[in-house]
Order: sequence, then structure tokens, then C-alpha cells
Amino acid sequence: MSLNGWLQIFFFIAAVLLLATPMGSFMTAVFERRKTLLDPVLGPVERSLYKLTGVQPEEEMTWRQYTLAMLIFSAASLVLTYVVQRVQHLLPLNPQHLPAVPADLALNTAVSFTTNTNWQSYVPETTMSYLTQMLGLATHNFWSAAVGLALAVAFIRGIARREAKTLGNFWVDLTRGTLWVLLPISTIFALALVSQGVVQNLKPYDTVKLVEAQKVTGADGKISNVTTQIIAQGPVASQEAIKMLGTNGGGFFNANSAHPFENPTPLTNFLQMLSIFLIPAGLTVTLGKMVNSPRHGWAVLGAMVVLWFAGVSTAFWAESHGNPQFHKVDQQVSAAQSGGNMEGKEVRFGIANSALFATVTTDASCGAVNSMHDSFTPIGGLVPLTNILLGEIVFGGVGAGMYGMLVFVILAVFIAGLMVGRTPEYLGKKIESYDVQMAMLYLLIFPLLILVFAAITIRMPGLGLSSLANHGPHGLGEILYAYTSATGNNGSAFAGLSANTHWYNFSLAVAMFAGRFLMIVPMMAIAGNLALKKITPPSAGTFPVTTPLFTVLLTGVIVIVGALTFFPVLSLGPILEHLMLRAGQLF
Amino acid sequence: MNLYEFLVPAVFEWKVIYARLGEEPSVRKGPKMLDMLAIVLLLLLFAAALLYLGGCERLKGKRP
Repeated sequence: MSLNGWLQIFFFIAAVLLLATPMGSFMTAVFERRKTLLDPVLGPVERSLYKLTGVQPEEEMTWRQYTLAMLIFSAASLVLTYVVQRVQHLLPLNPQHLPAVPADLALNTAVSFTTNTNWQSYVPETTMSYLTQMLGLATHNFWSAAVGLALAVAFIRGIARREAKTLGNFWVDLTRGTLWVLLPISTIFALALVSQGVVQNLKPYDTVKLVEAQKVTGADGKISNVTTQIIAQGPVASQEAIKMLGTNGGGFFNANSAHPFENPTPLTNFLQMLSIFLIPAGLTVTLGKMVNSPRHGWAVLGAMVVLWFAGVSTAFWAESHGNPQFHKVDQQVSAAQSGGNMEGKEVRFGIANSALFATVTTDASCGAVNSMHDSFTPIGGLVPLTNILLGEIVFGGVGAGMYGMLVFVILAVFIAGLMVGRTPEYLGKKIESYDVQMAMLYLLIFPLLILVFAAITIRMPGLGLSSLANHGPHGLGEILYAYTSATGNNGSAFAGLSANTHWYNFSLAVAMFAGRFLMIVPMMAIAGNLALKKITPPSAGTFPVTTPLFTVLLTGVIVIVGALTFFPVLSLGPILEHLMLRAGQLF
Repeated sequence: MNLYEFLVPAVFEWKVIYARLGEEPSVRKGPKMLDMLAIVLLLLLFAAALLYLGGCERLKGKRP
């Protein structure tokens, strides 16, 4: 592990913490409808949108109305994306004349982008037209992130309000989140990416002559002499910016953020990682401000930073030490080489920035990748998998991370109440049986989906195993990662699994849908119930949620719930693979 | 074919859409069946989400 790598990791988290307060303060102002610098420009746009759509911005919604509005919006946008893909060959902005996307793949992709997962069973540059990328996919990058943001703010209002039946207006939160937060930042970010060399055009793909001809063996066994290469183009920067800021992660190209047109320099790599954590970190400050307890926001952020550090230090350590099977090869860091396990990693990023990116993208539910997680060492690969299995709450997705973390907060407060034998209270609100029932529903759906789908897939060789590249514990890891990534709405792939089959397309679509919406419903039920409650003044028996002790308890609950639920399957997958690798067996 | 030529007959005759999708050489066999399966699956998923929402709401009235 190089000092240089550690410095970059610490510089990254320092930048995140530095930006959390201004970002959180800005979002508080936006969602509390206070004045901001952008009002003169965006105010008229907002009012026009409400007039056009008939939205009454002053009308408040109950948790049920709020959730229904969200479901209707998601259903409509999902259908739009499905239709655009199915008829893309008849629509403009398709210079490569790409055909219609097959129905099962179109469904998978529509669900994937609607749920902020951005799982990609396809190769974008040979499947999606420019119009589909812009109208079907990039728009969802904004909408799904804005939906998550709106839901998180509604949950925070549920905590902050007293004896209230409503949580805000979904349409207003959706509009303000998109116009004030996502659009301006992603516009500036896109321009920064263009300045670094990320492409932004609507040109047909370029064909270039190779410097040296290559002999390629085709699927039919015939050897052909290849003299040219097609270089894909497209409106990449505009999609890339919101892909990272909205923790979406769906790449314009198949290689995602490892592609030089998506992520050309160490600076763009740093900015991309920073933008993944920007809103989730800011939301902890928003939480503190809106519930009038800034220290509670910092305590939650503290738990996130602890879990992030545990992940990145493990991944960095594992990847720096390289593959133990190459004991005769020099894998040490030196001026001449990166050292460690460089398989599947870009030389321009190296070990530290690959380990950091993998941790950041799976802590948040982003799913963009700048290295291939499948090529990590077993322990290195265990980190991204575990990050998602913890429930995507270590910073987490835009909004989704915050409301997921708040469900864990309720569970932690409940456990603390049990330990001292008093009715648990959270910021003056009594946590009762209904809140805990809903919290448990939220927490149990997640492992249920992952483990059941993975088990079915493993038991059906014709469906699930036929497109698997590796066997043994590594193969189990690939299947487990796919369903974990889908259910956790992360979207990153472990690779080694060809997921563009009817079975994977349909089953992953169900996992993504249920992993998003069936977890949102109980979360919103908790928010609605909390809003109804009175505030009880703190007493000697109240467990404080603003101290380091609370951070430790919260971290412990997250780790124990995640570790206990998934330890058996992890021990059969990456942990067993690690032990067998040391014993000399590869998979 | 442009968008206008595609959409105008399609509004009146959905079969036209399927026929045209079926003409595409890269579309897998049975686009009708897969489209129907996708639509049914979506309807089921959203119906399940709505039922689930109602269930969570009703649970509030019950105390153990």
C-alpha cells in the first residue's frame, strides 16, 4: 500500500466532508422552499411547469398519496422508456441504424433505469441509439435520482413534523430536486468533463485504420484479417455527469468509467467519485438542519465514514498485495510499476483509485465502474459485494441511502431502548410496534429477494448456470453479485456472467422493481406514522442520537444485520475462494 | 419510414406496430409473446406494489 495511495484516499474524503455542509444547506433551502440564488432563473420555469401540469404546489399529501404519486410517475416513465427502446429503429438520432431492442432486454433496461439501478445486460454502443440514450436513459438518470431525493426529504419531514398528517407534495419535491439540485450541478459537471476530453456529439461512429492489422478468429472458427476499428461516439458528457451525480451508474459505453471517452484523466476520476458522494453526504446535513439537530446529522455521517473507511482500506490492502499465486513475480509498488493486482484495472488509475472507486460506487448505489470487480482478489471483490449487502446505506444512493440509513437508525434506537428497558424514542418521537414492523419489513425484503433468486438460479442449470463463465465459489459470487446489485439498485456487474438471457432479464427486472418499490412503501409508512406523533421532551432515559456512542451503536447494528444475514452465503463464495486461492486453487 | 408514417397507422392498428417490429431481422423470435409477457409482468408488479401499499396501511390498525 503506497503512501501516495493513502494520501489520495484521505484527500478524497476530506473534499467530501468539506462539501457536505454547503450542499446540505443548499438542499435544505430548496426543499423548505426558501430563497436561493437560482430562484430568478428557475422560479418562472417551476411555476410554468405547475401551470402546465395542473399541480397545486401548496397542496400537501399524506404518505399514501405521496407514495401513490411516486408509483404513478415511475410507471409512466417506465413505459416511456420501454416503448422508446422497442421502436428506436423507427425514430431519429440513430446514425448507426441500430435495430429495436428485444422485448425482454427492453423491459430489464426500463425497470433498471426507473429504479435508479442502471444494470446493463447489453452493450450500449451496439444496442442503444442516441435518442434512446438521451430520451429513454439519461432522462431517467434525472428522474430516478429526483424521486429518491424527494422520498428522503419526505422521510425527514416525517421525523421533523409533529402531529401532522402530510409529508409534502411529491410533484413539488420532484420538480425542485430536478431543477435546483440535479440540473445545475450536472450541467457544470458535464462542461468540466468536456474540458478533460469526454466526448459530446451526435456524429456517426468513426472508422479508423489500424496501425497494425490484427488476425481475429470469428465465432465460426474462421480467421480474418482486421484492418480497421470502429470508435463509438455520442452525447457522452451530458449523460456521464448525471450518471455519477444521480448515483445511477449506467455507462454510455460498455466499459463504463474505464472507457477513456467517459473517464479520461485522474481528475475526471476524482470528480466522478466526488459527485457520487456529494448529494448523499449533503443529505446528512439536510437531515440535521430539518430536524433541528445538526449533531444528529453529523453522527449519521460519522457512521457512514467509518463503514466507508473499513471498505476502502480492506479493498486497497487486498489489491495492493496482489495474487498469492504469483509468488515468483515481483508485485511490489515501485517507480516502475503500480504493483499489486492490476488485472482488470486501468493503468491511469492504478490500485488506490480502482479500490477507492469500487468502494465509493458500491457504498453509494451508483454502480459505475472504472475497473472490473470480477478481477479483484476474493477479499477485494468481497468489499463491493458486502457494501451492497449492507443495504446501500453507506452514503447510499441519492435519497435512497438516506432513507435506508434512517430505517437502520430506527432499528438502532429500538435496540438501545430494549437494552435499557425503556420505550425507545427517536428525536422525541416514541418508536412503537408499527414503526418496528415496517422497519423489519424493509430490512427483510432485501435478503429475501437476493437469496431466493440466487438459490433458484443455482438450482436451474439450464437457466442460470449456462451463461456463467466461472465455476465454484467464484461462480456463486457472480450470481450472488448480480442479484445483490439488482435488488440493492446498484447496477454494477461482477462480470463473468452473460446476463442478456430471458431468465436473467426477467428475474433481474423483478428483483430491481421489488428492491426499489417494495422497500419504499414500508419506509414511507414509517414516515407517515412518525409525522403523526407528538414530541416527547427528552428525559434521563432518552438515548441520545447525537453522540459518538450512537455512531458506534448504529455502525454495529448495520454490520451485525448485514453480517448475520449474509455470512453463510459469503462464506461459500468469496471467503471460501480466498482460502482456496491461498491453497493454490483458482476458479 | 419516418416517425409520422409509423405513428399514424399505428394509432388505429396496433398490429401494424407488431408487424413492423417483427420485420426487423435482429428482433428475436416471437416479439409478440415477449412483449405481452413484459406488459403482463409490469402490470403484475405494479398491482403487487399497490396491494402491498394497502396492506401496510391496514396493518397500522392492528395491534399485536
